[in-house]
Amino acid sequence: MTLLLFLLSVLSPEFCLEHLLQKSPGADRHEPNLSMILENVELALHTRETMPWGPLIPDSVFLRHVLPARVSQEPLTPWRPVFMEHVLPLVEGVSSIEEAVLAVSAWSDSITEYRPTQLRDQSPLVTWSSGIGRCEELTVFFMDALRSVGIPCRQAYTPWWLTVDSNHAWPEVWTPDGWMCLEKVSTEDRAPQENWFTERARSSGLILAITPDSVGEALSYSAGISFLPVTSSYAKTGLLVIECDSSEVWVNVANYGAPRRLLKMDAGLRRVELGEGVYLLTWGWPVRSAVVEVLPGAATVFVPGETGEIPEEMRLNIRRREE
Amino acid sequence: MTVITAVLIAGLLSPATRDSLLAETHGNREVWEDAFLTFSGEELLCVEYLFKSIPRLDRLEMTGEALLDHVRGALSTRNRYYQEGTLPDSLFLSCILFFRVDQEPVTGYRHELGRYWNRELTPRTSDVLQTASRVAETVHTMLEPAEQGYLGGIEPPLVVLSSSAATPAESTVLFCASLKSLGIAARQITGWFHGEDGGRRRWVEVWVPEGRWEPLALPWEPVPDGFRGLALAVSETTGEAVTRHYAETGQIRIHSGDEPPEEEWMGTVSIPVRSGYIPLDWAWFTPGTEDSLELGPGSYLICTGRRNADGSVTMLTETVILEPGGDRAYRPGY
Repeated sequence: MTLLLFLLSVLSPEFCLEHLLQKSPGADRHEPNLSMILENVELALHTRETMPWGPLIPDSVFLRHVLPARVSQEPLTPWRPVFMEHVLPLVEGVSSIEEAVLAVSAWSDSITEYRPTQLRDQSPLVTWSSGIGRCEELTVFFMDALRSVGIPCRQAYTPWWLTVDSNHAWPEVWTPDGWMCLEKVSTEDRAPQENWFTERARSSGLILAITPDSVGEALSYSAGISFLPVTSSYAKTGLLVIECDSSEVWVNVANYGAPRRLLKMDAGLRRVELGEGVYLLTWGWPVRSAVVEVLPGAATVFVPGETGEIPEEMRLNIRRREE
Repeated sequence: MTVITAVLIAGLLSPATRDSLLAETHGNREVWEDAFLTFSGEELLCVEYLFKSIPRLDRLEMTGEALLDHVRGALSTRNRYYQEGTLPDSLFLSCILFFRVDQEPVTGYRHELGRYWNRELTPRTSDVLQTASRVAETVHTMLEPAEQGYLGGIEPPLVVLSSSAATPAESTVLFCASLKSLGIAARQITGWFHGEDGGRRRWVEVWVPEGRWEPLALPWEPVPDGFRGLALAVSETTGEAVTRHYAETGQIRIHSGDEPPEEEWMGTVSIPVRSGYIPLDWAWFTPGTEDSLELGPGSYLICTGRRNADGSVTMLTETVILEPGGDRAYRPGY
């Protein structure tokens, strides 16, 4: 079966290049970026041919989650050859993706540490040389390390947590059994663990996974990227349904002392799965608003009307336990 | 050669500051240590200014070639558009030598951009506003508009120059970097506008020899006529609020109240736009302390929020209408 899958894969460098450029910023079609993109394609295909898990990876997963030269908003750099030189020896003799992920994770943790940095995303090479990065930068670093040895991975993020003032980004790793979030499991025995992340994720409102392609189940699609809703993999969810023809409705949560936009629901998006919680909906001009609660396993149907002053006092995000 | 005097001499990099910043530049300190040894005179003063003024990531991304390009390029163009004394040292340093425009990565660009514009701008003029307008028109003509996607941030100036399309932010980066390369002091302004079609917009100010900043509207990112609806404008280069240059501002005075709350509250000001509110993250305040916010006329949503022990947020809101030149008091009702 493995051999058959390998033989059926007909991804050519030319096809991969065009696929990648379609999902990339326009500047990548011009020098100096184009040379880096070309090298990235050649090395990604080489890794797929030489790593033991290469034949297990479907073409669509390879194209979306191994081939990309970028993870997020970091500047394009020639990271792949540098990472390959250092990460390939770590997985020599390893035959399963799961074992390889643990080896790369241990290496990544040994040379980088979390520290708040700046608004602008630094490149994985700067994270490496400086040894520090914030969550998104560490995610980029770890994902590039995985991709350099042909392991598919994607970025997941929440625009805003519900229970603390912040947001977060983290990697999910593809295995033949499905997507795995390393922050939810112990890297030593791969058992589910309780930590700061699992607690926040369990109370999250919206978690999205980035997929560089057009995917049917996406909440939204923009400039070659699909934003997949994966909240239910982390939290108890319910359904928010907007019933109207034309209104654009923003779903807001309270974060850093202000209502902040979690999601825009327009005519193309009228139903969304959200974590259990209390949300502020806003719509129209002048702005109207309403507070709604989403309960696990239930549907909350909301009809935007012509009235709705913002409440002078409200309790948002999560329901108080004593109520 | 003009001697950079007061500002640089007053702001000399002390050995303690230098060592402290070098320690934070792990992975790229050799570039800076080499520069401190290689450069001398005015060039060294410029290197030291950049070293202590630029963000940490810029120090990490700087290369020897890029540093040379910025220091020599900036000094060589210093008097091209400004006669002696018409460009203060502080503006030369912050708005010509300082290379950054927005959130683009650090690259050298002055030599290449200078050559490009010296070819394109013929016949040449010494008028700052005429030159800036011609550069803006050329940038607008040569680049198709592109949508800002999720992948990739703002590309650096020379990558934008070699592209056929650019996002509004990238067009502004190329425009401002071009002006700096020519020796024109420029800074990007970010403004937030009230109203149904409001939101965040950018424009550029250039320093004219008459001694003032002149705004230049960018054809790729129009702003409302007469800056109507402007709530807040900030120079991202210096962090300076410049709203009063564009609108008859008023102030919202935050009162601490008789009994400051025991819990930790956070105060924010948001503007209404179609379908919701946009927080002005440059205009937050700490409830329980006296504060004052200078803003353009219009409607504001003032929120004070408290994070409860269970993670929920209690939020109090009040809509305040600020008249031109008005003075409004706000007392959080805890």
